[in-house]
Amino acid sequence: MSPTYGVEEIPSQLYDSKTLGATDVSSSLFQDQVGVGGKTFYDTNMTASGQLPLPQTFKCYGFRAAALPDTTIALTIALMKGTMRLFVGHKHYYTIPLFWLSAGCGLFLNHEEAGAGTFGYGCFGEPRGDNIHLLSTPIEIGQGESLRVDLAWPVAPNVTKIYIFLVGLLTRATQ
Amino acid sequence: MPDEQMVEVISHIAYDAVTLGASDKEAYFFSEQLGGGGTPKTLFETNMEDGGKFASNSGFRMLGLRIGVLPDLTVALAVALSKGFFQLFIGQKPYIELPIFAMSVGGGLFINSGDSSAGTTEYGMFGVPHQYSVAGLARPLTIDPGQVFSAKMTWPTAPTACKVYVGLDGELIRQIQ
Repeated sequence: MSPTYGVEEIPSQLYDSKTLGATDVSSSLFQDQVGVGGKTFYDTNMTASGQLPLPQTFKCYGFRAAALPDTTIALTIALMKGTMRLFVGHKHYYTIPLFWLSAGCGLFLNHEEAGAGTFGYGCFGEPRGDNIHLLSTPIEIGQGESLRVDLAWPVAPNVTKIYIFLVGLLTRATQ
Repeated sequence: MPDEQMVEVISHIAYDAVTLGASDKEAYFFSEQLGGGGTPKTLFETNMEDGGKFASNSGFRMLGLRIGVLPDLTVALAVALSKGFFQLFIGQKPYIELPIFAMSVGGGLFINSGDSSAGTTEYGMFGVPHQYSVAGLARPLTIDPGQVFSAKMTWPTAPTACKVYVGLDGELIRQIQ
């Protein structure tokens, strides 16, 4: 980090999402910044494509994977039958089946027992804020380093949206 | 372990899956690498880059253990799978021995549904689908570079066809490229 400006370290989550097509069996996230491909802050908070804007760095302490709260059970199961792999630069740093990740959030249903309807929604794990997959050693994303998360499925999950969150500490220049 | 000056330590889950046949009473894990096996294994099944050991010049510090099952495993299959015995070997020696029902998954499907007519499908899993539901070790186990290791599950009665995973949570010590 350059000594010519001050820096601050703040808790942060980098997130990106992808709406899968019916036959998509893979996807790369964190490649498009806000405004590219119609993405808004609802979809991503990346402000540079495939990397952090200079002089930012990030220490990743954990991961979250989430589907939207009205994702059906069948689609959630299909999404969970895949893998996530994080690349920093050209090296992969973390690989995990998606069913071992959790959302750390989600719908919790309060309802009356009788006649409550026929709907059913799925969630990546218990919808609790402490249900986040944490790392024993943080993964550092340095200035200007490329960042990518690859998702892959043996069978296409069908049309649905998936989010990946990198939970950690963001270092940025003070204003 | 590799020369500490030349390595990086990263969080890592070493995982492997075995698809059981209908009459299988044993399953061996971590013996096949990516692309190996009768039906070549993909990243969905394993992240082992060498069969039976970590890639050359890489060591592993194991901090926890988890079982894995697919999120649509039936209750009956989960029960059948749980009635078995797990062993982790480093070299020739067993280091962890547990009934399978004593293992947990640390993640999985959580369902919100209307009760009255939401359907009859039920799924089983190993423990609450929460990240705290991973068995930590009281003391890390070290697997040195080149050290052979494996895991084995044994059942008195075949659980029938399904897929089961073993995950070793820990830290990979690998060379900086």
